[in-house]
Formats: sequence, structure tokens, C-alpha cells
Amino acid sequence: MKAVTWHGPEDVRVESVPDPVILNPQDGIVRVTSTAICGSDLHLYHGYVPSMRSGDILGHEFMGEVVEVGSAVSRVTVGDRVVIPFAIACGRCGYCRRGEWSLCDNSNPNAEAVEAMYGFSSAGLFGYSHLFGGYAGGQAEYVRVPFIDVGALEVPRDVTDDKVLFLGDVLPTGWMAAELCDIKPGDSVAVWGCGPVGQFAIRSAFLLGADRVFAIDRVAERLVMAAAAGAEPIDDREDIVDELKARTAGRGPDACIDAVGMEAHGGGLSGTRDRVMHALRIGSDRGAGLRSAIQACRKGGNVAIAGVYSGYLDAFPIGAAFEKGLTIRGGQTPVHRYMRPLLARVLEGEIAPEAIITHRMRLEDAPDGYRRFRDKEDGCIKVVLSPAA
Amino acid sequence: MERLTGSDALSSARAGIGGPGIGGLALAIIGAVLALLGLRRGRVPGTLMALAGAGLAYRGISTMGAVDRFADLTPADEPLLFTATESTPQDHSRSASTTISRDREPVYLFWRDPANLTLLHGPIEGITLTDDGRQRWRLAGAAGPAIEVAMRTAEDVPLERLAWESDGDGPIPMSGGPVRVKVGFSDAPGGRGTEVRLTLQLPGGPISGGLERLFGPALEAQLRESLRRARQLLEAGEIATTAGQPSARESADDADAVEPETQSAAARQSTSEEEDRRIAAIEAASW
Repeated sequence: MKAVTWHGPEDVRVESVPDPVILNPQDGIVRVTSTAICGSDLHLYHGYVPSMRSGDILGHEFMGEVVEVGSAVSRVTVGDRVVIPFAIACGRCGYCRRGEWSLCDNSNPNAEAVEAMYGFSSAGLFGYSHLFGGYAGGQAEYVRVPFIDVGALEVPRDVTDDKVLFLGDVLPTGWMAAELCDIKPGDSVAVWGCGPVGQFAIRSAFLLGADRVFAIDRVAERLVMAAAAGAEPIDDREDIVDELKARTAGRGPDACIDAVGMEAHGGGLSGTRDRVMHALRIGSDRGAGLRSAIQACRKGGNVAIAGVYSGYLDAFPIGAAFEKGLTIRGGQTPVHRYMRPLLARVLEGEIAPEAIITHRMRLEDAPDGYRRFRDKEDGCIKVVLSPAA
Repeated sequence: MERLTGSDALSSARAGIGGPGIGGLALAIIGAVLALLGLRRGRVPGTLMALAGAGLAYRGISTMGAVDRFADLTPADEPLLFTATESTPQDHSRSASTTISRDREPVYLFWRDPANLTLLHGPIEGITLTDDGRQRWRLAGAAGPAIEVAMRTAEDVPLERLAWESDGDGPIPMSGGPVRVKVGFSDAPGGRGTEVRLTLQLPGGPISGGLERLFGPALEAQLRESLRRARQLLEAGEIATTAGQPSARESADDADAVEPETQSAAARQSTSEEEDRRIAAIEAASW
């Protein structure tokens, strides 16, 4: 089959690889009909995530048709049209039972290595480095899905891929960020980063009752897309803290969402420091967005982290967070918890996920897709790849 | 004697080159290599391969008279240097624990079945039960032919604890006492399932002390891996793996970077049916 493979920083190829096979009794094989490039794939593309190996198959946002199931699969059947969560969950450990699917105890074969890094291991992830299990990803014609009964969301035949594809990652991720803001009537929410997750966070914040949403980015097309959803766009080159205060009569936003993560393009001293530290391999994560969010958030407010971090962040403003009594939450989204209610909202027309798609390409064109997405070229916000095209 | 380290032991072994114990040296080196192989790699060659290696190293070093040399180096007042927190020379144990979201009964029954143990300790190819109730644990020979170690069930208190220990007549002599593997079960608070503590007890004596110090952290890692695999089987019903998945690397049998998988596709095929049946039995036991 054809698959998108990683061979080093900024070296992504499309190659012929063997088809996946059932390896465990609860596996299923999915023929991929649509697969997206996620913002977090850019962290891999840039080489920010350790333990990638040359030849790894990328992709963790995908959907398709079930073509084979293992001997212990009972709910999902061949022919089902399914969306697959990016995190792999066993469904039976203490974490899964509490709905913390992305923290699954049993799905990462390389748990020992992650325990050494983080104290405990979270779930295995598709196509996201060997630390997170080294699972072959879904930017391919076929993909093996462990615990397919637990993860697969069956979707109706009469709905297009474009409408449901993002239920596997960016839509629930944006939704959870807004949910963690604990939005009350009259609240304003500021969102750093208007990529796909930021776009869904903006729309989710409104659905959850936000009075105003501020959209912070430096890419014009993204701000236009945010404004189309009703957000107030702010160019992040401005002094964000002053600007947000000015727009809220001195109160500041009640909640802030970091939808950027570890590759924030910070300006000023903070951004320079991060670039130097990264170049020296001293600090892996760049955190201009998160620092700004903590600084701008009102006293007692909520800060939600949806962007991915993997290592250490320098100059973390713990003083501001502590003295203002902020509540900071985040983490990999337990997609399983949100897929069904969000599918219902999509089917009811409350959310139109397809609105963020700017580029559709063949799987073979993935290297070009990665480059355009990285460079924000040609208004690129979300790339969807079609293996069958 | 506690001050001896494994590296002392190994360097002393090397220092014996050309000496009278050349056969012992070979054994020591093979043993050390085996032990290091067992510990350096992930799940496949594991605790018991390391132990086998340690045993060979011990035998080799003993043959060379290295033990006597160590003994000579030890001042007579050495025991006074032991602190209260340090283990006694007879107790070189390492342990790890986990909590499994299942009741005690299925967890205990799982550990009680020798066949399940072969799923937990990568290098155990199989366990043969002999007529007198003893077991022979056959360890995979990644660095040579398979090795058999005689083990016997030393303790079986239903729902409480199980223990196995090496029999003296095995191919790997362990002076200073047997190797013991112990597993204990207790209820986790608030309905969180069963707490499982796995302990590996090496024989007493200077060599074990040194090896235990040298390899201790890796032994603990192997114990944790065994516990993770037990938890995966008991909770999720299967062991997470990527071995055999596609990649754009040379081999279709994808050897994982963090956890090398050396089992051949053919071997996997032949055991998978048995494993399926076992998993089904585990599942049926309590869901």
C-alpha cells in the first residue's frame, strides 16, 4: 500500500509499504477514505518530538471503512464506516473506566520509556513517535486499529467524510479546550492560535455560551476564518495583554485557550529566548502563547492548554499563575468521550467542521501538503488527503 | 562485602585472563554478556535471562577463585559499615508493584497458571511441569542455546501470595541460597482493584550483592514490564504490540526502537492461537 512516511526533519515521503495485518485479537483494519494533516504533525515534521524513526508511517486523524476484524472484535463489523480517535484506549483500565481514555494504561507498548520521562505513561497514539507506542499511522491506504471496538465511531452513510473526519481529533480537542474554560454567561474567551483546533475552540466557546471570543494569530486567513465564526480578530504582534484589557474595559478575558503549543512563534525577548534555547537543545518547547495567555487572563480565570507540549518550558510565569489564582488544565483529549455528542451536533447542523478545510490533495501529494501547511502558503489551514484519489 | 560492585566483579573477571581459571573466565564473560543482553533490551530477553547470565558469571568467577580474592579484600570489620537502611547480605531483593482493575481472584488465578508466566517474562519460552510438581523454566537463547532452570513453587496462599524458587540441582548453581520470585496480592482502596507486588530475590553473597547493585535498576524495569504485561492481559485482554506492522524500513517485521522484538513471524503465528485461547479463558474467568 501507499503510506506517508517520516525520514527526518522536513523529509516526508510517500512510499510503498506492506499492508497492515491483524496482530492482536481486538484489532481491526480500516481502509482509509480520508486522512488529515494535523497541526501536531508539524511538530514531527520539524523534528521536535523525540523517538521518531526513519520509515515511520504518519497520521493520526483518519476515517474509513472496516475491512477486517480480529477474533475478539464483536461490536464493529466489516463494512462499517468509522472515525478513529487519535489515542488508542483499551476501554477497561481504571483510566478508561473514568472516561480518561487518552490516559489509557494498557495501549502503549513502550510505556517504560514514557514513565522514565513523565513518571507515568499515557495512551499509545497513532503515528506519533515510538515514545507513544510507535503505532503506524493513518496517512496510508490501510491502517491497523487496536481495540477497534472501543475506539471506532460508526458514522451514517449519508454524511460526507468532510463533516465527520475531524471527530477523531481536532474537533473534540477544540471543544474540550472550550469546556475547560468553564464558561459562564457574559464571559469572554481569548484563543491563542487560529489553526484548526483554535477555530473549533472559538466555535465551541460560542456554543457553550461565551459572550465574546478574541482570536489571536498572525496569519491573515486564519483571522478572517475566525471572524467569520463571530470572533474578534487580534494580530498577535500587538501587545496582547494591553489589547485584551482595552477591549474588556480593564477586566481581561475570563478564560484563555492556548491552541498553539510548543512551537509558538513568539516575538520579543520571550521568543528570542525560546529560539536560542531550542537551537542549543536546552529547552524543547517554545511557549510564547502559553506565557501570554497566563499573563492576560483575569484573576481567578481559567487557562486551557490544547496545543501539544512534550518536554520542558523555560520561563514559565508561575508567579502570575499563582498570584492570580488561575486554574490551568489541559492534556491530550479523551476523544472517545466527545465523539458521540459532537457527532450529534454535527448532524444537527450546530457545527460545520468542513468549513476549515482549505486544501484537498491526493495521498501522493502529502509532502507538498506538509510544506504548504508549514509555510501557511496559499491560505493553507487544513489539508485533507484522499488515498483513493 | 556490600561495597563490592558488579563492575568490580566483572573487571576482576577480566583481570583473570591468562590465569588458571580460563574456563571460568569464559563462563564469566558469557554470563556477563548474557546478563547485559537480558537487561539492555526490552521485554524479550528479560529478568530471567539476566539472572541466567548472572548465574553463569557467578559460576565463572567462582571457578576463577575471584570470590576468594574479593573475600581477601574485605576488611574484617566490614559488617560494621552496614547502615540500618541497607539490606542484609542475605536479602538482595528488588520489587515493583502495580494496581490492576480486577478483583483479587482472577488476578491470583492468573499468576498461579505457569503458562501465563511465559507471557509475562519474555525470555521464558515455556514452563514444563515434572511429575514431582517441580517446574523447568526454559529460557529463550537469544545469545546461544536455550537454558533450562529448575524452579519449584515455594509458597501458594490463595488470594494472598505466590512464590517460586530455584532448585539447587539446576544448571545454574546459586550458592548463597535460591533465586526467589514472589508475588503478593492485596485489595486496593476504594474499589480500585488489586495491588500486586512482584519481588525478585537474588541469593546472598558478595557476587549477588554486586550484580544486584549493578543490574538492580534494570531488574526493576524488567519487573515493571512484567507487571504491565500482566495488567494488560488481565484488564485489556491482550498485550499491546506493534511487532509485525508496516513501515518503510527494510524488515516488515518491524523491530521497535524502544523495545526490540526478536520473535519471528512464524513463531508468533504458532503461539498466537494458544495465546488467543488463554486470553479467552482469562476473559471468561471474571468479566
